[in-house]
Amino acid sequence: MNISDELINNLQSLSKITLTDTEREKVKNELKELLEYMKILDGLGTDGAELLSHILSPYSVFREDEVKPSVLAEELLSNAPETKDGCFAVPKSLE
Amino acid sequence: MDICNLTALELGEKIRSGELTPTDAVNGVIAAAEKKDKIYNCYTSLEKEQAYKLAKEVEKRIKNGEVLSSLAGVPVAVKDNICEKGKLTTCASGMLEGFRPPYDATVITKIKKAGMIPLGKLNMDEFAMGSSTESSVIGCSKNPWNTDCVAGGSSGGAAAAVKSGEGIIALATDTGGSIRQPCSFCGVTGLKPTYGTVSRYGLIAFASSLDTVGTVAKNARDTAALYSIISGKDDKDLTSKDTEKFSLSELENRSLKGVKIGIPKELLGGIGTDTARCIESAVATLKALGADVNEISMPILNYTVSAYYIIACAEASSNLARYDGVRYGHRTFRASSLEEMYINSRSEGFGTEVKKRIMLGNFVLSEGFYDAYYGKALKVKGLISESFEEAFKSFDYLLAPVSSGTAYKTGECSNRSLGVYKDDIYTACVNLAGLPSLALPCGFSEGGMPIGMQLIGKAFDERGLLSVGVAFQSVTDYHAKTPEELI
Repeated sequence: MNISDELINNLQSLSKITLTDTEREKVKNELKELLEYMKILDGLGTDGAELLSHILSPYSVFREDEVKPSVLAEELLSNAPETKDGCFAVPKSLE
Repeated sequence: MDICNLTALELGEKIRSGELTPTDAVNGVIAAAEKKDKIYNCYTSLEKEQAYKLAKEVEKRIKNGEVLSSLAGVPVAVKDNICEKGKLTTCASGMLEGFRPPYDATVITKIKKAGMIPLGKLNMDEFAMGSSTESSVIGCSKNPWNTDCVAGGSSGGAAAAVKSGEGIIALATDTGGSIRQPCSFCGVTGLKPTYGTVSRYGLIAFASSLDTVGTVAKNARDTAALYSIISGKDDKDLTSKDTEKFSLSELENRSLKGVKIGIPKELLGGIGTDTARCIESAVATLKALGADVNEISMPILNYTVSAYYIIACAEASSNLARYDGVRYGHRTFRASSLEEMYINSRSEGFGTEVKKRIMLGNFVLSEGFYDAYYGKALKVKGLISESFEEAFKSFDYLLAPVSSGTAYKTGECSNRSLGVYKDDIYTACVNLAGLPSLALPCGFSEGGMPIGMQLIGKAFDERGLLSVGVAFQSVTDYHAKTPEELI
């Protein structure tokens, strides 16, 4: 498995992460080693096998539409780096 | 009396009898932590105010004649990825520096209702990703048996605290072995319960289909007592289920005559001679107690590590997408746009191991690779689950090592990432199948380091597992040994 610079750049973009030069080298080498190891999966026949997403069969749970206490808005804002008028404030995203 | 020398049930008894108060218990843990934590580095934070307040409340409740649990008044340390309202909860990451959750996790609500006192947040690998606590933003927790070695991970702080006497009992989490491996490395008892038995509401997610909240304790009886408190269906976690209630007395004096225990031979591969010797000795003990112990072949387990890392990292890449600097956690000062804010906040806040796993997760989910990696891994997960189901038609429990050897030396993991990942073969297969597993000390290496084994049970058979654990610990004393050079 070739871990090209292009692949690393693409993965950085998908992950919204930038690696430092040192990290890049380390991550590149470790991913290469790991993906090489994972080639073991190619040798395993899984035709017809089911994809198991959930161990417990998931099902929807409903409740009556009654107003119940939740978490207060002020508490939810309490960890925000910046707020304005009861909203989370962030750098401008639209011109 | 050193309060931390007591088991949780012993302390609970002394509080019930009036010999000690909950405030005495809190004072005892704080004194031990203040004395020892500079050596063992078990705690990311130890906020005392809430604990003292709760202690007084519990004293009042006892005085008013309220019937509380057998662990009422007992301080419990909490792994730093479990939310406690108003208390620092950081996942040992720069990304959550200063974060104080606005709510309690359900397990915290339950332990408070039972009269227990959450005290101290325990060190861990960053976002539970690791096997040594070395990726923690405060550095690794040291092994109480040898401080040149790590406590293990990701719940290293929990295991080290309970063995070193900095704590009495702890809540921790296990996604791929993160309770069982540090318990094995430190010589304490750990329970990874069945997926769905303990609510994950308030557990900061790593891999939501694999994460479980469990216990780290001095013995199986303490484990059972805490498990009883934290388990049960929770409306706030739609993956949680009703659980069987049982009393401690139901676990005692269980005859193991005719109990069938299987050892997956694929999990005996790669273990060191000391571990092999300890497993053999545990088998002999179980046979002497009447159990039939035989090997079983489960070849699909050889694909555990690949399937686990693909699935766990895929889920992590999704779960950790929420850390964007907007609503909580670290926000960069270097941001001239929203996009830059996301990228720089995440790049500054996360450590390298976390970044690597997020990137791997995005890789296996991306176009062109999804079927070959993620789709394939989900098929392997299904086959592993079926293999365990098949095994449990012939056996009541399965027995396996927890790791290939004893605790890693500090620094050892950084140069052998794949080697360390491969050690997860023993534990991660259980998470993929959603089954319960109890890690028990079963011996020591030639060098005096603890070695543990795990007993794997059928889904929702925590009662059976714990009763075998109690029986094993009634004729062995590995769990009761303490390091000679303990501070």
